[in-house]
Amino acid sequence: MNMPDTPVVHLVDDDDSLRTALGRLLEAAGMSMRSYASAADFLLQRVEPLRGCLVLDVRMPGGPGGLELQQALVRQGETLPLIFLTGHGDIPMSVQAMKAGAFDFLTKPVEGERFLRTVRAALDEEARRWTAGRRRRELAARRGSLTPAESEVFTRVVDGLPNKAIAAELGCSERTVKAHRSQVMAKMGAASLADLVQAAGELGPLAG
Amino acid sequence: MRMAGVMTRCLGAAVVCLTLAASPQARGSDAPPRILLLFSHDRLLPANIEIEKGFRDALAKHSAPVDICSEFLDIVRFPDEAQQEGLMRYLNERYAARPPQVIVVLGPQGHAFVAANRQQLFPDTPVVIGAVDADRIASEPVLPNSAAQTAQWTVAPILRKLPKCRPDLRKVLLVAGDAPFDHNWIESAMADVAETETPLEVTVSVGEDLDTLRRKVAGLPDDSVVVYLSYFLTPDGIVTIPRDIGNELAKAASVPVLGSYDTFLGDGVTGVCAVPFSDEGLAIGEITLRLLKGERADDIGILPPAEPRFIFDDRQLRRWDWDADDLPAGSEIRFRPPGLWEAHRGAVLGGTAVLLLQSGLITGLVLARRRQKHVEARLRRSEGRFAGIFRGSPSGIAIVRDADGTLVDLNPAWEQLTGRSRSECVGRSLLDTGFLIEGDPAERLEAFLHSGRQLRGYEQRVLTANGDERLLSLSTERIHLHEEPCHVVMARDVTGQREANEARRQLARSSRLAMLGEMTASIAHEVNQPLGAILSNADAAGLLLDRPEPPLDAVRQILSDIRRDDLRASEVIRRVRNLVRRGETRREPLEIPRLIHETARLLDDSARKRGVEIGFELQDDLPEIRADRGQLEQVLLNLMLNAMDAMEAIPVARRRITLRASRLPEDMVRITVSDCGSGIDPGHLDRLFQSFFTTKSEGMGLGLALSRSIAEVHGGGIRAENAPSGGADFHLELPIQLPAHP
Repeated sequence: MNMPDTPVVHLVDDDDSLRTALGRLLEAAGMSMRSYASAADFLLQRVEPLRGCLVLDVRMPGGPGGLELQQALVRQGETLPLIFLTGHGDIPMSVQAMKAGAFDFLTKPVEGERFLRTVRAALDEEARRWTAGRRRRELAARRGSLTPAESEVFTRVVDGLPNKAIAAELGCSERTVKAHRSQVMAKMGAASLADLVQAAGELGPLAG
Repeated sequence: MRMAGVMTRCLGAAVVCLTLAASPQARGSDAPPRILLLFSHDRLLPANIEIEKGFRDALAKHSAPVDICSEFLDIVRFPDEAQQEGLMRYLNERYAARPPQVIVVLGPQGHAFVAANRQQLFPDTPVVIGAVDADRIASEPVLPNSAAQTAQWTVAPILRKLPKCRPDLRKVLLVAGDAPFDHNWIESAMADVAETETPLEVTVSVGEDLDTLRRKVAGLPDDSVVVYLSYFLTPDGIVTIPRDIGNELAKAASVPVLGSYDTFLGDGVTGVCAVPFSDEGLAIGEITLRLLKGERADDIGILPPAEPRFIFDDRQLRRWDWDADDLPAGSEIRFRPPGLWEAHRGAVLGGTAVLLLQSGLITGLVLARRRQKHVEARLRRSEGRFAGIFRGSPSGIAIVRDADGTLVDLNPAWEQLTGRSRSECVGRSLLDTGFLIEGDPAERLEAFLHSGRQLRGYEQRVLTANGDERLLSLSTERIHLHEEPCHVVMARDVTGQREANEARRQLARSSRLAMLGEMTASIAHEVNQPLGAILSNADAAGLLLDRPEPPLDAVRQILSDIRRDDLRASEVIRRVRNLVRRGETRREPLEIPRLIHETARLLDDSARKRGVEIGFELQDDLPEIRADRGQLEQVLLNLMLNAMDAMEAIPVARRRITLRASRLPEDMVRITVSDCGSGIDPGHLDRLFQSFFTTKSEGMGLGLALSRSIAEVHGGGIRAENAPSGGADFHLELPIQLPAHP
């Protein structure tokens, strides 16, 4: 069983021999992988958090197909990169998949080199997203730890108001503002006003 | 009861007396009844003069003399409301001593004036409204105590009837002046244009000054006609008499001028479609008579407009060389010169003696000359009609001289299809005009024109002048033009229809062939799965073997899986070929000629489009065979389609498929499909019937393999050979009786 935070290639294909072969290839290349015989199996057995990437066949008769799984993941807010495997005549489906946000698609039979290259690119992308996401999550937690008063000061400080103006607006003394301000800097982990503004920017328009 | 009867009669008489006493006629019964005739325009307007004439004619029938007073609003000179108030005061003062019994108002402006001032202008007097548009009256609130004789001014009859009689006409110029009345006319005429959906091209001149207008009508092309509506005011504000303007236009114009009022006729206008104004006046007069006799105006109500008729000026007809036969039915012709007898009675009597002496020779000559003129006129008329059809046809038509393949003439639609003007192309060959796509059977089309075959719906790609590729459907017909053999080529643009036709063709094919297309996707899928597994397994094995200590057991497992998948893939392919053998073969008695003809009919459309002729050489009294109709159809279709494909690159004139059927010894029959293509490459002959063998870029290579399977299931076979005369022959040989199921 892999550690929850290690990126894993999740392989979903209803064809046994192809699933086995691709799994072998991934492991021979040194990647961690888990395979599932159907989209349903994947949804039932998946672990949280979902790290890595998903390789799935677009056509899996006798159950939810690749596109449906993609839609389900999107609805759940899952951002795992998806790589579709498509066969002859599935171009319209592939286009649909790409428009719905798939990372890439490969046509069967897929050349080993190409397959591994695409999977690695997907894993890299996922790692990038994860890191960016983590930072945002951290900042959001910190923001959430501010008291109401500190929150009011935070908003005005990143808007560029001097302490005197903030005091006037909030109806308190300049000294109180300064005290709140230093608390905010500490809690947000900012060493300077520039850092604080940067943090506010990363939090997005909801920060203010 | 007799008492009651007498009482009723007395009561009745009393009622009548009371009514009589209340009626306006009771007033001043010694003075003749006075009628106020109120005109919208000025005194000298020819229409007014005509209407009044008719009106007076009607009233002449009244038992007693009538006093008709005419007043003129002269609305074009005096359009202001303030001036109208003055007029009202004037009328009230003038007629105070003896008010009118009936007020007759003519024209929409007058109607509006009376309606607006009804209470101030003899409110109890009945009103007769005339010379007002029927639709206009219907859209306004009904004036109490009024009756109306409506009229309709429309160019619809001209737009509808004229193109039928004179098909060479294509354009119409509508002309009107700058007065509000003129502008309204144009609006209503444009509504008529829209309503009649006329094929004529309509342009408009409204409110232009007379010099511009004169120049415009002088420069019109032969296939046009001017419809002159009205011209009451120049853009500089000068009041004009429409009839005079009409005459000026007619004099200056290079084409006939038509109008909508009969008062325009007589000095240059060729014809009008109208209800004569005197007739209008008559009708209005008759309503007035009824009112004088005691009818209530509201009981008479609003009368519908009369039907206009066509009236022509004979002198103008001669000027434009318009034959009386080409006029709409029921047309009246005025201004005919008096007959020979009436004008020159004396001379005729005197000359008769001389004529009688030379009668023999002269009569003969005159008769012959007249006959010839008649024939020439008929020929001119029919040429005129042909010219009309040629010019006006929505299909492109071109005439090509056989001798040198040059274009003799082409019509506007051809110009439009190819983007090249007539002057650019006439005298040059089809190929020179850059019209056909090079490298295609372009030269072959030319060669074809010499072959003597007719094309029907042959599809040819062409390149237009601005580089667009279009698909044209061509049909040809041989004719003689001035004794020279030529071809008429008709072309229709079917570029857009190609997709639609493709879809239809698919449906027309044998249903099994269509299914084959569907199966292709799943066949490919089922083959791609094992192939995909094989490839990935091999790649994995490669990586494993690169390791310093390769896990050989794992590699062996991989090889075993590869083998299994390979067998899986072959199994799929075999299943496809076995599709036919799954015990689905039916046996029914089949007539070979019918089978061949019906199958050929399925491809008829395709063959025509590709310019392929299909010939049949079927032996008489061929025996029936017992076979699966659908499967044999499939084979024949496959062979015929292949044959057509094989002839893509040869000239259209030579494209021919021959279907033969003959009986062979030992209870066999042979059906042969022969083409005139370039034959089969000897190197391919042995592989022809193998699965997935194809020389076509988009072929699946299954057709012939399947066909062979079908033939074999029936206990027969297919073989191919090159014909000594060029082209290939495919022989399908079948036993008359099916063998017992193997």
